[in-house]
Amino acid sequence: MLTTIREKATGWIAWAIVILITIPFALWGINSYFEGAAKVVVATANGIDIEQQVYQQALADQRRSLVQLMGRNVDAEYFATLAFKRQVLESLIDRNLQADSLHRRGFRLTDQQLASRIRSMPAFQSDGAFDQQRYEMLVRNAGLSVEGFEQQQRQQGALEQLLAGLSQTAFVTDAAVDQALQLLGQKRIASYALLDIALFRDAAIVTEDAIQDQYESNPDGYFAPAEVQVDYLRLSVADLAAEIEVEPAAARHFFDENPERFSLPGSRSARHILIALAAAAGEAAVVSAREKAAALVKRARDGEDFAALAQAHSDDPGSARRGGDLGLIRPGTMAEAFEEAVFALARGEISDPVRTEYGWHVIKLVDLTLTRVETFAEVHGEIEDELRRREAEERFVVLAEEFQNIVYEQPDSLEPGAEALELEVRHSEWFSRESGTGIAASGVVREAAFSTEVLVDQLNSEMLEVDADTLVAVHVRDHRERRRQSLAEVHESIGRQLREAAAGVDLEAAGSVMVERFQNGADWAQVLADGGLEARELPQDMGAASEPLEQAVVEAVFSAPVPAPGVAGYGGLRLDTSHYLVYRLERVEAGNPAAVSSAEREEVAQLLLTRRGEELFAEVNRTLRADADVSIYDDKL
Amino acid sequence: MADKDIPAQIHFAEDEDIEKLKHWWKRNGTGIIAGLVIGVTAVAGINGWRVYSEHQAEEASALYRQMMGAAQANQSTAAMTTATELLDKHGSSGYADIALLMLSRLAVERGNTSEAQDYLRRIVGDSKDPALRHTARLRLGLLALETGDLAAIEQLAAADSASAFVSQYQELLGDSYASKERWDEAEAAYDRALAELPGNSLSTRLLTAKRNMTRNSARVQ
Repeated sequence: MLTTIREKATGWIAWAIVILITIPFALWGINSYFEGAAKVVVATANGIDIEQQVYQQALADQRRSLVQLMGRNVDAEYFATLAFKRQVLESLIDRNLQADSLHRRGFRLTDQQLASRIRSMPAFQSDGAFDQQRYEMLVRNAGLSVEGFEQQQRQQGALEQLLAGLSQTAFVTDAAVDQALQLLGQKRIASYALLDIALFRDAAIVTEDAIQDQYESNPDGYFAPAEVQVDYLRLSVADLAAEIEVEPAAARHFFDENPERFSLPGSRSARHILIALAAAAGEAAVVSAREKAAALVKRARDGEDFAALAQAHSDDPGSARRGGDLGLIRPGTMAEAFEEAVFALARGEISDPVRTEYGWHVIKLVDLTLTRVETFAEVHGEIEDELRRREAEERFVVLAEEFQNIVYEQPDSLEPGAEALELEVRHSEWFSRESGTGIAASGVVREAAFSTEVLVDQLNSEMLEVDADTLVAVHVRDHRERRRQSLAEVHESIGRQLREAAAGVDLEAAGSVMVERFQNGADWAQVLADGGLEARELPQDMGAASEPLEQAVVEAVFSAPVPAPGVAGYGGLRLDTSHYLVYRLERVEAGNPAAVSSAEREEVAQLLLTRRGEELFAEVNRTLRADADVSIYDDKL
Repeated sequence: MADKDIPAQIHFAEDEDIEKLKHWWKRNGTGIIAGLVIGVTAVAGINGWRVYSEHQAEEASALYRQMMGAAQANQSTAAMTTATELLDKHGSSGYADIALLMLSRLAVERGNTSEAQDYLRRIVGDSKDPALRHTARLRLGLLALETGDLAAIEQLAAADSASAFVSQYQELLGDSYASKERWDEAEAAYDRALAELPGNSLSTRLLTAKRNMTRNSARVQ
């Protein structure tokens, strides 16, 4: 059959076939055949593929914004956890589902709406107008194509349309607003006292038998986790630095070579009056402004109060309010002409008018400190530390490579590494996989110590980076399985635990007896006085209850049954492990809707509306997700 | 000579081929052309439909924007006209559901509860989006609360075995039980509503306050 085809594949028949084959390519594009190859999909949601590249981008974005938010406190290890990755992926999935569902349901941004949306974003404006170049540059800098960004904005815009639709169509009835005002404005007039467990500790008796019994009747309790002790080598910049001798001449040389490092720049504090000029001001305007400034110079030099003059005449509203005060001025922070003038003035002196791009300035120097050069003796130690550290860092980089190779190539012992690098083999304390001290405070070290290669195969760990300046390799020295602790080991802690429990029982008993007495008509003040307790008034404002204990009290009293009118209610409860709360609830006053201003009322109504809108929106997403067919490929994350 | 024979043979073969082909074309030609025409028309049709529906969606979007703008400017008549137009012209679009929500809000503001209920019931009955159906159902619940129609609320909350919107339904239930002074049931409903509520918010505060008010002297006695 193939021969037949070959024979016929000549002349116009062949052409016809070629044309037929061309049609699908022309309609659906040949590019889809090429693009397919490089795609790695990390998840699919309702048939939408989420590509690895998109996911990596989202991961990087989230990491960056977390670092920005929390600064140096961010735990870098957290970014490597599956939990973090899953969280980023989940929100990516949600976003894709939303966008898809909105698109299918016909939510669209028209080209015009998209344009006005992007044009109104302040980031893309310069001088109050949209700047096309700036827009394209910023978008590219963020790692996006303009088309990609516009696609994103279309999706985001459609989402906002739905959100606005849900919240702006919500309604609240007057009755609901009244109810909210009554509840949120509620006051509870009450006093309370706290019984402390400390009062009952001494009286609590714990017998030897009880301790033993507790230990024996809990065969599943009192276990110590598996622990190891390791040998380790540590290569650190600090250790290296400690061994380095700095020659006195080198320190001196450094001091002489870097004079700018050791001069403390002087500063000036000044006040000024600005007579502002537009950038395009004409000759006449400049002259008249100068005359105005010159007049002010004269008045100030004649003894008028400079601060008052600034307040009345300065066109720099920020400083004018403070009497023209500019605070400390460091070199390099002000316009050049201004700075020159400031640094030429003596204390208390007033300058002639000075011209900058903003207009004419009249300057008064309030105070100054002179530039001071530190002496070699003062900074000698500092220089030595720095030189030591520099040399140590250089050696560290060189040694790190050798370190890595040697612990890897001779995996049975740390000795060769120790000899080659002149390091000492150190020993750690016992530590578990969950916690440790010293070298084992690092999670990286603990994980490595409990890995199969190190713990079971008895090999060196690979080189571990504890932090940027410290490298470690560990070798297991000793190891003990999870084991039950002996009675002697846990005797003290069982004793403490039983004593606390017994005291707690006594505490609750004493508290509930008290509450019972109140409910039977005993006098509040009298009973408290008998118990040596002090009554306190309940704070009227949740915000005023600053410490957590007081907040818990407020919360408890606000959860208490509302007493019948004219009768005080009493109650009590264990607030936390060490306190029992007893309270006397005089009365509950509902907030008065009639007493609030219409603005406040509007505000609460608005809050209820937004709340409804936002909650709905969250629920909409939840529904979407619940009905979606999602698969996640963990191995690709 | 063999040299002369061969071209003649080839020529002969070609003639025969053409004859065969003509015959074949006679039998199948109409079919192929019809197939091509159908194929091309279908592709053009699908593309045309895409362009058309895209155009429709954008038109609906523009109307929607107009409606929201009017509502925000408190021009209720204009908002109502646009919403109705949106419903008439783009009844199957997602915007139509929100137009109905808007119409019901405007009806509530005019004090016309039964009209508002009609709009909401249309969403419950017709909307393709389960979330929007829940939204409408919840708003029907709010209206039923006004009239103290506990049975209606119980029915609304129970209708779908809702995996979402639980907190909102339970709060509604709690409110209606509380209005009937059925404190135990009210507290249980509020507790479920609180448990389903994510995070600490104004909602938590308000719900907690509502829950706390179910514990009162009337109940303790």
